[in-house]
Amino acid sequence: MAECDGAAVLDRAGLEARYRDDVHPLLARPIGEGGCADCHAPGTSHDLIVWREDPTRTFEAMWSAGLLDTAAPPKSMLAVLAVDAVPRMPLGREAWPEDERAVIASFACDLEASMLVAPPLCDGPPDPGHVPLRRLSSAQYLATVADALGYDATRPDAELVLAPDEIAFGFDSVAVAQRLSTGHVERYAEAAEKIANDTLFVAEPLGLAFEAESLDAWLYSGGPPRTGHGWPADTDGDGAADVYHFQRIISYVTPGLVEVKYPGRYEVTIRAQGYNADQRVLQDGELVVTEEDVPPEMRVDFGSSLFQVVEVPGEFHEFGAWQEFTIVFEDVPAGPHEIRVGLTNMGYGPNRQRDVRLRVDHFRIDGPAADQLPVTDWARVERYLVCADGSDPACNTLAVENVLATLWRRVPTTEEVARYETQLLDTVFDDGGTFREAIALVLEAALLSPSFVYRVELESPGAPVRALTGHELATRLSYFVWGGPPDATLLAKAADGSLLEDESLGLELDRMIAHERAAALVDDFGAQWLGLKRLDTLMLSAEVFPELDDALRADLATELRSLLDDVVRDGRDLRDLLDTDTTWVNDRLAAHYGLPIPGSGEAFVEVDVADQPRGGLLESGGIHAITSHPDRTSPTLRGRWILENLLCQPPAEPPADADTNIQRPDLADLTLRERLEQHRVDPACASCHAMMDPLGMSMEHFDALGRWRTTDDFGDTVDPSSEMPDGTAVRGHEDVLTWLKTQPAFDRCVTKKLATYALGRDPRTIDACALDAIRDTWTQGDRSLASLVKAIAMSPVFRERRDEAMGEYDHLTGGP
Amino acid sequence: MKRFEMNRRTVLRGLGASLALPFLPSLAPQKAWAQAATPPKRLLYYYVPNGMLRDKWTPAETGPGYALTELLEPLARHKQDFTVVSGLDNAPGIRRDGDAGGGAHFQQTASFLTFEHIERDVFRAGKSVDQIAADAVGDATAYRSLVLGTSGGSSTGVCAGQDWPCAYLAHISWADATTPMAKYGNPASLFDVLFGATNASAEDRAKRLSRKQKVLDVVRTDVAQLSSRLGTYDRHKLDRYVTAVNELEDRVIRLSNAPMCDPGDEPNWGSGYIARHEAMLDMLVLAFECDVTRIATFMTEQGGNNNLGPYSWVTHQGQALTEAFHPLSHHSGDPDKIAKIAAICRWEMDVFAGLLDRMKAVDEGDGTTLLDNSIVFFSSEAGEGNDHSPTDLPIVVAGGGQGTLVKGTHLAYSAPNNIYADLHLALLGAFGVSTGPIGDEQRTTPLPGITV
Repeated sequence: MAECDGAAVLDRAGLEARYRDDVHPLLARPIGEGGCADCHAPGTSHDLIVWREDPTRTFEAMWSAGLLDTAAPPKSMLAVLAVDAVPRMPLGREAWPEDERAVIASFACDLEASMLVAPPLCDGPPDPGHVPLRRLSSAQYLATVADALGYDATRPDAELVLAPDEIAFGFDSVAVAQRLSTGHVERYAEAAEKIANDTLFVAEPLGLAFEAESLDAWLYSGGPPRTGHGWPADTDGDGAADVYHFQRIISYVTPGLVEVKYPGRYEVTIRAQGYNADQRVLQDGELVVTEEDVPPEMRVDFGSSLFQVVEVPGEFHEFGAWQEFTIVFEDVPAGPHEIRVGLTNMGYGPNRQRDVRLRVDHFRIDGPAADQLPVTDWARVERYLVCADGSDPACNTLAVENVLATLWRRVPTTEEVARYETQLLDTVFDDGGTFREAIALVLEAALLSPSFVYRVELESPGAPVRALTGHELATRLSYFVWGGPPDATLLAKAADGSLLEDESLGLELDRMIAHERAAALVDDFGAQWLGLKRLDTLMLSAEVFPELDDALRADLATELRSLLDDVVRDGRDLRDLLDTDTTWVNDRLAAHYGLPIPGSGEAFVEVDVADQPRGGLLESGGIHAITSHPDRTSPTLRGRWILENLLCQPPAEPPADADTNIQRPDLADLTLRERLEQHRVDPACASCHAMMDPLGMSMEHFDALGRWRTTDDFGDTVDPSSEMPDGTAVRGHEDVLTWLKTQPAFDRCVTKKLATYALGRDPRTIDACALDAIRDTWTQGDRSLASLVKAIAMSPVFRERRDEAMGEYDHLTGGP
Repeated sequence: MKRFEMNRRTVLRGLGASLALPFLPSLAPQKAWAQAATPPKRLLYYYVPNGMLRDKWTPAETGPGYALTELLEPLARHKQDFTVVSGLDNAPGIRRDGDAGGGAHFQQTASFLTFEHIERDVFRAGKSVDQIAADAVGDATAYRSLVLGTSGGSSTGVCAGQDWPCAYLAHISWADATTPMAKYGNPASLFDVLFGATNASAEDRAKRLSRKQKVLDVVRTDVAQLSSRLGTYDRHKLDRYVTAVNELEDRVIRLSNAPMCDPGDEPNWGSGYIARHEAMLDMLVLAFECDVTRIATFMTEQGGNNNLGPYSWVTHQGQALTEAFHPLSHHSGDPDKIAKIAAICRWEMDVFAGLLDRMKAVDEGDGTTLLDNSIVFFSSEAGEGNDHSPTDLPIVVAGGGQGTLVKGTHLAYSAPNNIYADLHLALLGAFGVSTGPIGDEQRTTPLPGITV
């Protein structure tokens, strides 16, 4: 679109007339006469469904398809004309005659000028659009539960199963893509039951203390002769069975067993004092001292399979000072356990004597370790357990209200609280249950309620477009910026209405963006935008890339997350993501890349790579890996990744009958470049590959794991040079970086991606004028992600909602 | 849940003896359906992706004397227990003029058990035959049907750049035209779900039931109150929520009243793809054996997917495969690719043969086996991966269906009598379910020759 001087700004009727009279006759030639239908006739693999023989209908279809949307089909008129028709079409056939080319180009200029330069089409108020109920994505569900209950369901053994998210338009939280089947609700029901049970009956840390003064008599009394019971019969280890009287057990710590509900690390702390004695053995009819001043050995058993033995040094023939012993048991399994403390090396008999003694006055059992509990912060659960036995109705009401308000992100109605109380609390009390069981049931129902599972915004009859309420806005904001529910400050601003004012909304956004929870912008939005989640499950051929293990996967992901985090946290221009002078490595990743080893071990450190082909998305192994075939690189996939994620211009899928294999035997002697040329032979392939392949070829110096190389997968010397469809020469990936940074499509794409994430909407339904306004605000500022977040959150499309329009979703429901 | 390092087979072999009716302890062991005169019929739809290699699949001869082909050979030991059906076309799954491009696998997969024509821009398939069967007999068991698969519901990345809804590719089972059924993919959680609650006393179960019903009541009221204040589309969504809650309640009641089936200790699931796949099949057979459900669908991975990584669990010439199935399946006659696809297909058939082994090993107590009482449908969304078309589908119908099915032969059909949906009418009929017209072509006549 280089030469658009003198473009006319027209209204819709004017544009339609221009299209009908000048352009359509060129495009709509019969099949075989050089028009669109030669390749795109209905029924062919690359049919253009908006294209009709009737110019009015074609214009109408293109118009309603979303004018600015170059990403989503049906392709917009602008995309077809400006991106495809003029510079690229028709591919593999004779080019447009110069005069026709000029006509189309001139119309494309008018179109762009009308919409972008002086947008008469954008003079009305933006349409905030209707957002259907949005279900919490799995990540949001877990974040919400973690926030409300301190329940950490990401623990590997939490075994919480939610139905997988539907991914649409690159994100897992797009409302219209969220199908709901019985299976989903089943999973929610199972999760609700498990979370309620885990938090209230499993997660409370065990902290049992036992006073044991009465036990010391047991410890040094002789007792009857004993053997067996799982204890070593040969306590002194001399290879001969012990024959003396042997008393070993002190006590059960509870009347019965200690119920360990959650497996993990437990500590037994014991206060004890020891009494040393000599060991005497019968020799030639006399007891002779064979070992002097032996201290008692204390054995602590945790259940039937775990035990530890410690020495409790005392004085000779005298009890020493009281000492405290903390004995740690790793990996105690769940279940009932007998905890025992015993003296193992005391003996008294005719052959041998070892009169050591032990006193224990109290001990306690703690565990599991805080980081092993499903609830990381028990205090959050405890606040729901304020009513001792449920006999105080006012207390019950308050407890129920607390649970509902926290889980539902809003104030529950009196009716709701009353209903939960009478239906659930009373049921449990009636069948003999405890207050804790009753609260568990409230928790279970509240988690299964649509008020938890969905982010609810009510319709407002009579006012089709309205501002969001404070609570609705708070919820949108917090799931957008934090990936989880609002905090108390945000809710307070929602309640007093200040959130609805521009200035205080701006201040609140600043606070939210600076908050540590804003890491969700990197971990959730960033990871989804760039497709990084694929790294977690990335599988390449183990034969070709044996070095790809979990550690390398994690390292590659960490490098990218660090990059994102750095650019986002520092508020830098998002284009910096493309190219930076530093990157993040640990010793292992540095070795992998062939960089100097930083000596930081596992820890990631920022290193200067200004003189290296490192730093930025296109020089990160993680991106190279997710865009490779299992056994080799794929210029096509790499090009596609750039088009899809950075420019929002995803190429179409290959036609159903396309042969995508470039490893056919008949190509065996060809170089990669020659193989890729095959893509250009068929015009149906060429239109997309002409874009993808040069972008991807430029990155051929990076192998499938991101290592720099000079020989490609086919044994040829890497040659990263090529030419873009518009004639731009590309010498290597640095040129692509430079080119990308100047692409307006990049700004538009980032705006669209983040808006899709923020609004949970099909990007085709987001008001194009509003999106452009957001982009303009953003690009006129510092171009940081924070500014873009703010521009979106301050925009009317985010702060308002429209009621559902008649028939708006008929295409999804199959209705009316 | 207890975990013992036990061989899974041992556990499953021990099952027959551990089924007990808690309220009639003296009668143990018993099958859950022991009161009925005969064991129930079971219905299974088993899916494999990306078609077969037609040249290596279709037998040359028809009739009982046919010779097994390379890909059918793994089923040799079951030859008298299945029928090969060839020549059937799922016409509604075929791409039509005007359809958006790039959607062949989406169309075929969503059409696999619905026989509807699938479009990109109107999200609509149809009720699948397993759900039609579940409507008819599902209420007899705790679970109306089980929907299983080895890859989760929608897979990240599948839809990137493709403008077809992921759901079409990921689901063969559809509750209604716009609602795909979520799949279970994790054997351990499936075990918990199916058998986790069966160890309580009768009194505890009654208490649990009444509490659970209250929870569902409360939630139902929540939905109703919310629904009244939403737009049409959102109400439509919440209607499903209520339907699901109602189904959940039915199930809770059925579970609570059902005789118990003690599946034994939770097996050791092992790790890796193969172990998980086998464990899912174990769970499937266990669910049938315990009469937790009578209807199931099972999806092996999914079709048309370039992003699922290599089929590295399959070996070819002693080497683990390094390529994904779908790109391979477009072999264009390349002998190397064909050999690799054959390795994958043989693996699929080995696994399927193992499933039939398991079903045969379950003694139903009256001298019959689970396989005798089952109708097992096996096929793929495409006939031959290379041509992306749901024509001449590779079909095996196994099991006896309690004497209703023809076994041990090869039946070949040709136009105009080669309608794939008609086969499903015949199978539903054998299962004892009658239905109105099914699919895009409103078929009503069962395919002849399938049933005795």
